[in-house]
Amino acid sequence: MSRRSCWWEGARAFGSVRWSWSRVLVLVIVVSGLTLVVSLPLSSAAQTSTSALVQRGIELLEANRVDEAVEELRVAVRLSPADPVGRYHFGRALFAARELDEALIHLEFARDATSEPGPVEFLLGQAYLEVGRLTEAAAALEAAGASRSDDPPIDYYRAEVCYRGGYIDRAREWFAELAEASPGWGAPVVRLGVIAMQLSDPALAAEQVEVAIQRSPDQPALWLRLGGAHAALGDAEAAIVAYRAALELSPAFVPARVALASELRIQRQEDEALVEYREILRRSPNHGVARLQVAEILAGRGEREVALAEVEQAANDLREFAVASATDGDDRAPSRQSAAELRAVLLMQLGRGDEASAAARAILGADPRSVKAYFVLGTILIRGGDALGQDHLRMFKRLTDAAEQRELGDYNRKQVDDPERARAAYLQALGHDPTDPGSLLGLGALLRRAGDFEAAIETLEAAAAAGRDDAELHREWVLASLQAGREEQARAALGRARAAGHTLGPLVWSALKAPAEVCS
Amino acid sequence: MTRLSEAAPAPPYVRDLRDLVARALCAPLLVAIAATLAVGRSHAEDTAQLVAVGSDDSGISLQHRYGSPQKGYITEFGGSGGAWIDYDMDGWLDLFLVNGLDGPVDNPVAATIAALRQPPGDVGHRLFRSHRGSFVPVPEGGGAGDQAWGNGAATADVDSDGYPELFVTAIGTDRLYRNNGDGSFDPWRLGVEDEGWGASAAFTDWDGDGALDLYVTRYIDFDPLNTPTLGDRLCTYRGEEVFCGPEGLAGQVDLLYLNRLEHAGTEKGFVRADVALIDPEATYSFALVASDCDADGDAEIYVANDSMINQLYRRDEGGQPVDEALFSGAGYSGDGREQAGMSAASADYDGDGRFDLFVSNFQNDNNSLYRNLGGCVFDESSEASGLARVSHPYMGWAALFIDIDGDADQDLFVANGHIYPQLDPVESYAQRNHLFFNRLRETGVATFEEIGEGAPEELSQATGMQARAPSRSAFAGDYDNDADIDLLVTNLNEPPVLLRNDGDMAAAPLRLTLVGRSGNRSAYGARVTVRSGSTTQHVELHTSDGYLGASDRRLLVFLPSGRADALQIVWPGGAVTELVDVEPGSLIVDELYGVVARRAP
Repeated sequence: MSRRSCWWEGARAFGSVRWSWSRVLVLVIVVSGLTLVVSLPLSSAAQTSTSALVQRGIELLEANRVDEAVEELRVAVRLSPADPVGRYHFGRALFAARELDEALIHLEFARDATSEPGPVEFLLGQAYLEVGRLTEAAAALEAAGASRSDDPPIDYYRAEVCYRGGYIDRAREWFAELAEASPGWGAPVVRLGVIAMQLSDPALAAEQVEVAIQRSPDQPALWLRLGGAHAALGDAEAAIVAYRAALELSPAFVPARVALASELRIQRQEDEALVEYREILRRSPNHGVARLQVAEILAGRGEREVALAEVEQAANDLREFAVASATDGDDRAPSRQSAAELRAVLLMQLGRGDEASAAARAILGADPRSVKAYFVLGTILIRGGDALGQDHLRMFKRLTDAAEQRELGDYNRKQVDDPERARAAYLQALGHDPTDPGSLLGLGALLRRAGDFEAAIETLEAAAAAGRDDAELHREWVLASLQAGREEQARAALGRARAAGHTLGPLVWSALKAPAEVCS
Repeated sequence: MTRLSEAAPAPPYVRDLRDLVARALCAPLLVAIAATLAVGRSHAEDTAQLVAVGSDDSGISLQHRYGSPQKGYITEFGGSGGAWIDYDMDGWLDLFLVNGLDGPVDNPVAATIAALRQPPGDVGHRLFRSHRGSFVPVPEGGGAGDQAWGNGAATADVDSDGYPELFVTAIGTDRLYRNNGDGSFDPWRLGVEDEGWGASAAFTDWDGDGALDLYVTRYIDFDPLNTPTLGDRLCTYRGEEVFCGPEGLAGQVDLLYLNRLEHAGTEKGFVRADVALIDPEATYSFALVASDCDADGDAEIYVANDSMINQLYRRDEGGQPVDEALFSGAGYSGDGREQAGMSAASADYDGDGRFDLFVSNFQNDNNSLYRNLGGCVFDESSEASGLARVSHPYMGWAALFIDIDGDADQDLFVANGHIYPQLDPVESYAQRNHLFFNRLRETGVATFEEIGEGAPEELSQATGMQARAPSRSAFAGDYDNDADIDLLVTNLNEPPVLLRNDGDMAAAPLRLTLVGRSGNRSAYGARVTVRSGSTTQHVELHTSDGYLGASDRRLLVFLPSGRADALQIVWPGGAVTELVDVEPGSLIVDELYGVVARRAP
């Protein structure tokens, strides 16, 4: 098999594995790594011991034992800091571990030190892409492709750079061309589906993912994506069918089971949802989010003792997950809050008032907007004859009423597309709670759409000051700043969002187009 | 305060003295039998047997109309109710059934207007006169048979002439019908004819002036032009497209009308209470009960709301209504969630002398029993009482506390039925109703147990609770005067069902018909305490518990020791009547004259 055909085989394998962004990256790393092992000369015989460490690191990386690989290769690089092979593989491992800034240092070193930089450039391109250095990403990928023209994986990432650079239509065309040129390769079609979802076109997304499924019907991740698209379309039945198809292909595929259980709950089929959550826990006993759902369902049925035991276990699992993922960012904080709140409620309902009070006070110490904590504390105080409880219950109602109107506003803004009703609902919410961050965000988004950019920026600033800090806020902020003619502020806001780990999506990328050379 | 005893002279109109004597002679034997039944009863011995009486036997016929079978709009899912009302005062309960219309389904008001232009037909509300328990339709409902998109009914002797009036709510115009005392009703425009979506209503003397005021719960401010329907694909349930609402639709404020009939210079009979104080948030209200939860002698008004906080109106120092549901523990579920309250009922279910509350809710949620801790502070006790889990798979509507088996505690009936016909019609839309037996007397602990699914078939059949239907309203009354509680259950778009209680009561019955004097004539709000042996019962007179219905205003209590050792009536105006050594049977007690009629069982 020639080196070129090896690349092609790799590309085909790339299209047939269960698709996900990280898996694609790992695969590419492996392919690139094997190529570089062949192409990079060892500098001297003295590097034999280093080579053993590097080889061990490669093996660990290929076994997907990323953390161990990083440690092994870190030692190798410390021993032979000038060895481009060691630096390259260390960069690969760091890239796989999502330590992107450090990965770039080592990959750049390897690129400059090797005679055949193509594979390094390929990985570098992806790393630059990930950190938002699009011009450098485009250059690296172009360099990688110089020796391999019409190379599908390289072109795939070049199209992705195009997309992130805000050239949406060109990127879609490119992905479509790749899909047409490689009919057996699902990745570009899936990417088209993902882009459609990000552009709020779930119907097109479903269509694209269905095409990908026709190409690779045995990929559970594709069925999961299809389910997501159907759910976004409001077709719960089709979503559930798709999730079940994913699970038939891979019963251990936890994300699909979580999605299925969640959709069943949304559809109020709680018995069926409970079965799925229990299955998740059978396979992953420390899945705190699933255990929390079980606790919520049981609590809703009045099985309070059992629910309390479950929620306490869930709280532990979620806490341990938080510790383990401290450097990764933690998207389970809302679940931890929910678990703490449910625990406080259950303690109150079980007559353990002192513990419930303590739990509620602890929650309020960390989050002074916790509706449930106010309810628990207020109720216990009232029952004890303490009129202070009325203040807590008033706060509970104020926040509850605000949340209700905010949800109504969100529904009218996002699903019905009725800005007038949405605005009325947000204003009502703010009447209850003038600092409700979600309502301020919603109102800011509406103001931007209505062309009142200055007012939008002011409202969005208020939302941020009230504690809102997520991709949606930053997206609106960047767009409002741009539309108000404050490009510098917009770019600064974009930078802050990136630093906080938020991906703002195609609307922002399109509005803040990168230089044209990223999409040449 | 009057104090009377069995030694008081027999009133001149005791109807059958010989019967009284005969019953008195049998009393010891009956007492022994009742006491035997009351001790150590097992499930198999539960005596409530509710037998569905067919239309041919009962004479009750009504094809309920309430929009289309598909239920494309929210206006088509909630009706209708009715009332047990002895309108001709012959001692036998007559029956009034509210009806709706077929369509146009997107505009109930227009439907009503169109129907009113048609000659009377088989559409319209129905009045059935009782001939000793058999019912005969009264032509044109005796004057109350309007054709309208009707919802509920409430009854009271508004003008204190001894004959009860009828109030009927509708999507459209609510109407009060005056009882002429000659077997007929006439529309009576007293200022309670507001347009909107009237749901349950109740008469209660809110301002303590002795005249019955009227509270009307109202649901949605329905706008046919701006309400999505089937085909818009905006609203789904369990993956099925269904009608939209109430979320996203405007609610409608409830109405409290103060009775000013006897106030000089008042042009209208009723005037609206301060509108700013009643339901300012325009909640989605379905049902209410007027009950004295703080034992201060005045009934509070508790309103069950759909998907919003419930309301509990108490009085401030100036007598103005103030909603304290938020601080009561009965505004939300026990874990602080808004629930879809469909019905409200009140009784002292645990025998502690305080009146508790019950609210039925949506499917996949539990019905809520609120135990009164005193001073209108409640603790949701649904789970502890055994009512939570069993209610989860059902959508509850009318709920009534009734002593169905005569064992001197409050059992509970809940009508069930879903709102979306798009669901499997066998398993979900049509549902089984629930009858929960209170185990207070057997165990000393007030817990409820349903004998139905999972129980031996013969027991389930014995309770007569197997039939499935999309039930809505229910009202209780002893229509055959055999001293037990019967039920009339209405079903959406289906005929109502009369459930006759054929069980043997565990204890001897005592029926009380109260006649108020210083307060309202109907004696609504009167509180009765009955001590029989070691058992003390506390009951309160209100008839509009449940949903859209009005129950028998005669109180029926049971006497475990075979007699009431002491009986106290606290009248709405505050006067107290005390009786001692009261035998089973029927008493008419007048606030002014004491026991004015007595009949043995």
